[in-house]
Amino acid sequence: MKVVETDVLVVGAGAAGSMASIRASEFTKNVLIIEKAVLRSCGNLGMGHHTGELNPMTNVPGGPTSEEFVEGYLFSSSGWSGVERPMDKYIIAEEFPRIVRDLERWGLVIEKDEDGKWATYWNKFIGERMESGVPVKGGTMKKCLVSELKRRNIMVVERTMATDLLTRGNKVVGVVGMDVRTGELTAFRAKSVVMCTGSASRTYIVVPGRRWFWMRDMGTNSGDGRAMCYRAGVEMTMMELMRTDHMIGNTMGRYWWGKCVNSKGEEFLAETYKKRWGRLWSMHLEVLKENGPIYWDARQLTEEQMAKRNYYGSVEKSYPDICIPESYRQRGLDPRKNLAEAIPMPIGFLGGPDFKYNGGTSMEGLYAAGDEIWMDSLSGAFVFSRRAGEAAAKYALQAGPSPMDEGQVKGIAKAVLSPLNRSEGYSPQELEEKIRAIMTRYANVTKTEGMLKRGIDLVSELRRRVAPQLCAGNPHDLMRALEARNILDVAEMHMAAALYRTETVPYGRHFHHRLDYPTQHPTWYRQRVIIKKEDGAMKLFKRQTTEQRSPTREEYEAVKEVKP
Amino acid sequence: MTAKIDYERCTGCKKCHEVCPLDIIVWDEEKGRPVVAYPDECQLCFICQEECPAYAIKVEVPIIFW
Repeated sequence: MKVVETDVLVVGAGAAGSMASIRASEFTKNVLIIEKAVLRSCGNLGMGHHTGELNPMTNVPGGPTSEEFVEGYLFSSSGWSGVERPMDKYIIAEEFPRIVRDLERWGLVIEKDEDGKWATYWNKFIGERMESGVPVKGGTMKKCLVSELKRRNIMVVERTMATDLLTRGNKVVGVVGMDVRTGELTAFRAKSVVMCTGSASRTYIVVPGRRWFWMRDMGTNSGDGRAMCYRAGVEMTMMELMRTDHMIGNTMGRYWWGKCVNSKGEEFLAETYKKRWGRLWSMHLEVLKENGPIYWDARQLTEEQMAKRNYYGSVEKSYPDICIPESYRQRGLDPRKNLAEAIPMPIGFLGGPDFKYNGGTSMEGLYAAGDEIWMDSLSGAFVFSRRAGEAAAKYALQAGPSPMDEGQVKGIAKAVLSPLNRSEGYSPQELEEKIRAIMTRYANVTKTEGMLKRGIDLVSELRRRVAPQLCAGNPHDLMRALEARNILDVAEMHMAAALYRTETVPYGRHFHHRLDYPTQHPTWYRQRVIIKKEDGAMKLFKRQTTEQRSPTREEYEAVKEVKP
Repeated sequence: MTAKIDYERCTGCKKCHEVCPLDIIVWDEEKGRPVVAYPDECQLCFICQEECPAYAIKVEVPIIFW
């Protein structure tokens, strides 16, 4: 097997991976990215999730302070669940605006006022959370990151899927990568590794038929990082909390314009904001109350309102994803005349490797950032990947040699390539479809103990009988087989954690709805579920998170410096 | 069908083969042209359509996504 050596290895070249490697390159020249797709089009930004704004813009004239931002967040639907770590948000509030200035320097186009200043806006409190941000030309986001990576000569090994972590005890020493076009394996030896593989979205069936790659997030996001970390014994957390978002019809894309109404034409979000519920939780309940479907109604809007990005009250932001306008154009629909159905759907899980303020995980030398961890926001991805890149580089500079375990490398190679050596067996597509069908039926947005136990039974049968018999005719299918293996791990983690958490968390976009435990329970307050693989078996336990209050400036100063 | 290639217009520049994030457009060495080998795996990101310099690719939204 070919061996490539580097100081810092970043897995994934999306928003987080790009930022982590850019930051790491300021400390060491030996930074390498491996990416399953290609730099130009990878990650959520690459596929055209062109966010129309960057937020929060804190500590700018007229905008909220860090404390105000965190307090607003904790009061809002997203933050009152009792499982938050408020310092994460404080760090974002402190460190995000300077990153926006970096991005602008690298080529991001930010909308300006007439006097040439950023068109910053802020709404002190809009019910769901504190809003403050700048409107940006989302299409320039990926481009500015790509050009900065190129300017810094950071090498990206494209079409290379990370398959497994290489470890020595509780220390990471590299990653095995598989070229998805040739099937060739490479051992990437590294002193530190930053996992930025994005969300674990390929876990539910969103539309019928074998359309597995159609989701809100990037189709490549099969939870590779989570599965690799789990298999290597890294502590995982918050895997029970689902990320959901609403789709426009069955078309990939998120926000739309106008009022959000139920099938009776009633607006229902204002009430839910008062109750500090999230929009997605409210939509979910509205459907359960048999008031679905839910629509965005833009018929009453004036041209001015359509153009104005942040008109709150009843008007939502617009996110100019490519797919919705294209779909509407091809079908001859007009958003000003036709209602757009908003379908709440599972899009993955909030959790991932449990991480520290420097992005470090429970494994030495291993860092994680972006949708890999529980950030679920572009600002969180940028801030914590920048910290993780810095910490990983500093760690690499002080780390001694890290020899690989040859036996481990051989074992991984054998397991990874085994589907290529079988002439008959199950196809990866069949396995993926079945896992996702099980998740959709037994572990969807509403859950019960009985259904989850049955789901776990079915998935473990797949692990026992189907996974060892996967068959791939070419490297492309081998990639799909390895992805199916990862999806299996992620599905198991989710169902086990969801069964373990015996309460309901009505928490913004990241809820956990147990019909048999329909309310939040005091014994679960501030408790997170931790999953860890030990001696081949999954172990679950609780861990208390920090106090649910805004941190003080002194507390922030204590964690401000990024240590390895 | 999702991504459709118009071979009359295609100049064989390989751009679509290079940018497709899910690697569904493979390169046919014999004919020197791209082939949409895994149409089911298209996620409708429209990147090939946007990047094609010859305007030879059209991504159609299948009715399943309506």
